[in-house]
Amino acid sequence: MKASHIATLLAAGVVAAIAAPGARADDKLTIGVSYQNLAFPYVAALQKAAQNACKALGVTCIEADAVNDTNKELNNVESMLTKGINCLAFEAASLEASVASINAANKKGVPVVQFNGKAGGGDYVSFVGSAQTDSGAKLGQFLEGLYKKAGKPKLRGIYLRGVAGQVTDIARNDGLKSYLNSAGLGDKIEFVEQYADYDRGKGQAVAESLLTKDKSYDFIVANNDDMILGALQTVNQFGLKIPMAGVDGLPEALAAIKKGQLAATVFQDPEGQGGGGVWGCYLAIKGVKLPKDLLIPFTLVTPDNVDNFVAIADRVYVK
Amino acid sequence: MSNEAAANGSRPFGVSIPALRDYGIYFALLVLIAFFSISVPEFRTWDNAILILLQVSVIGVIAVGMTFTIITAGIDLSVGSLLALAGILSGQFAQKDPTLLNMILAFAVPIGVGLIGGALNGAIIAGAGVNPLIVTLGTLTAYRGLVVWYRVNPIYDLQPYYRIVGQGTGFGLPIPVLILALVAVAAWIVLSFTRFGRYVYAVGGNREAARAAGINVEFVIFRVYVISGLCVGVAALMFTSRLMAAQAISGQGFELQAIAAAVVGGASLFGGRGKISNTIVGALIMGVLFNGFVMLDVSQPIQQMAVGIIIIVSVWLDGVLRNRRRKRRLRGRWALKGDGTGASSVPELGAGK
Repeated sequence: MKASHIATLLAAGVVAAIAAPGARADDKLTIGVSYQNLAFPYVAALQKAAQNACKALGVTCIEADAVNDTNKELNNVESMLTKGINCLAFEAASLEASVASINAANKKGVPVVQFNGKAGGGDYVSFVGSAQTDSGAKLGQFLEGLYKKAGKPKLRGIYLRGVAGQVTDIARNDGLKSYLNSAGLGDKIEFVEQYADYDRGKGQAVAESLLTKDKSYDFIVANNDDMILGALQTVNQFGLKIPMAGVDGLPEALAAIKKGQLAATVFQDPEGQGGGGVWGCYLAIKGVKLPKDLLIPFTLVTPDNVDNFVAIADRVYVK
Repeated sequence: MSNEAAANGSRPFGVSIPALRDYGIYFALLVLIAFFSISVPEFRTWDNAILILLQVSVIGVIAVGMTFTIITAGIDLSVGSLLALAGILSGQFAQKDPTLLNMILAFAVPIGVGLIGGALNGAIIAGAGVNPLIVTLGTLTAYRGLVVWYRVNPIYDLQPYYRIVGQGTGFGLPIPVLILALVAVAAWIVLSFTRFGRYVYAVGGNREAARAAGINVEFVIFRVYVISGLCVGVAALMFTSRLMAAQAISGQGFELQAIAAAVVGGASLFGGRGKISNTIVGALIMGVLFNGFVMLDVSQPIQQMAVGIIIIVSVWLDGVLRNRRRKRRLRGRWALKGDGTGASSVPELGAGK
């Protein structure tokens, strides 16, 4: 949750790097990095950040893609362990089934640092990621600001949910609703909710149907940027002006904020997460004691601060 | 073996007999429309009718191609992945400066990619004689892998002109709706009035008999997958332009939606039977359900259950009605010929009309 944790991590890293000047020369470290599914742009960005960290640290990184398949994930991890790795940076593909991969590393005595996605068991050194409820809370913060500006007793809007039953979707929903409740807005902000599977095309189609029925919505929010960008096509095509916000901070969403088409997005930091996984591994090998959870905060991106995030996005999102 | 239009008519009253079966699906569509019209006032507006047509246009075009493969007792599972591949490659040109060459490429490349992807499917299925389910399951994975490997990040800064295909209008209708109409009519003509169309039904109805009658079965099958690929290419262009973004993850699950449209429309997975008009109605049923449910604020899990049940019931009902009809036919009540059930062998080949 605290940014100071990352600062600690990085500071410790710098200290370790300075304290052990011969580290790069004397032993060639190998870090295994296992990703959930590289077909997602966000995971591809994690990969770019991890690769940048590998380069910066001068370690060899072996990478593997689980393609959302925990069986493949286990096979990947086992073959990395056979090849010989000093640490496993691991992005769990599933809450339960990914525990097997961590157990495999535990058995070989290889330390595990988890990043972005965390499995529900197994021994690990540290988790570098974000609390997804926090991203929902940031959407809530956006709506709170909107409510204060609107000067209406009640706001009514569309909430595009992700995949029904999926962990992140539930967490973001919980975060949003509980933020609004604690801000005393639980009964003042009303949602029409539909799942759109995190999919841009479905976000567009759902928005089309809902806005054909009723064009008077005060806002549209979504549990990821893809859906809000799909809805944006509809809003533009219908010639409407509705404040809209998503979650992720895709370069495209940032560009839309700069153009004034989107009101906000919630930035999830691939550099901190992907890079943090490799950094955490490096420090663990060097014997630095790491906190169990290194939580990277989400940030609400608005036209006021969007420029700060464009730079990060440019570094890690593959063009 | 052939379809309605090609059937000739020793029929009483000069009307098509399979009324119940063929019109059962129209009836189902009307019931759904009536239900939503009563439940949601905004549903029964002209704007919403147009919107539903727009929302089914992409899947509709894919389902037209799918109908060809299903009639030959085949299937094309690769459509969604091929759509993503064609879309990304189209997007690459749509992103560049709008020179004439880039504009032509942005529109032509997805069609070309669709044709090539379809030809590859067809060549393996017809040439190597491998089961289409396996081949297109393979290319579903391979095409997806190719496009993700080629470019994982979406292309979004497409030039404004590119909007025309997906978001433009003509004759007061969205362009995608006009494209769907054009594709459907063309496919209907091919299936109903050409020798190739009759071969397609013949190959699906009884492959060995078709072969014995001198049809180049392999070449027919090859062309059917090229047609499916072509439809996917057109759909990719519509989809990418409608969304004004090309994504490597686009089109996941489209194969199931297209198959559902064709099957709800009465196409038989065993081949020999299927009609373009019914496939379009099948797609419309799916579209009306989606639109109506969203307007009614029905949550997605319930939508999914309803769609699943409707697929099963419609196919079951179709089977029941067809059985009854077959029994009647056996009793000699009607002299039916060329009903497209695939039960008959291959008469009137080459009897070009």
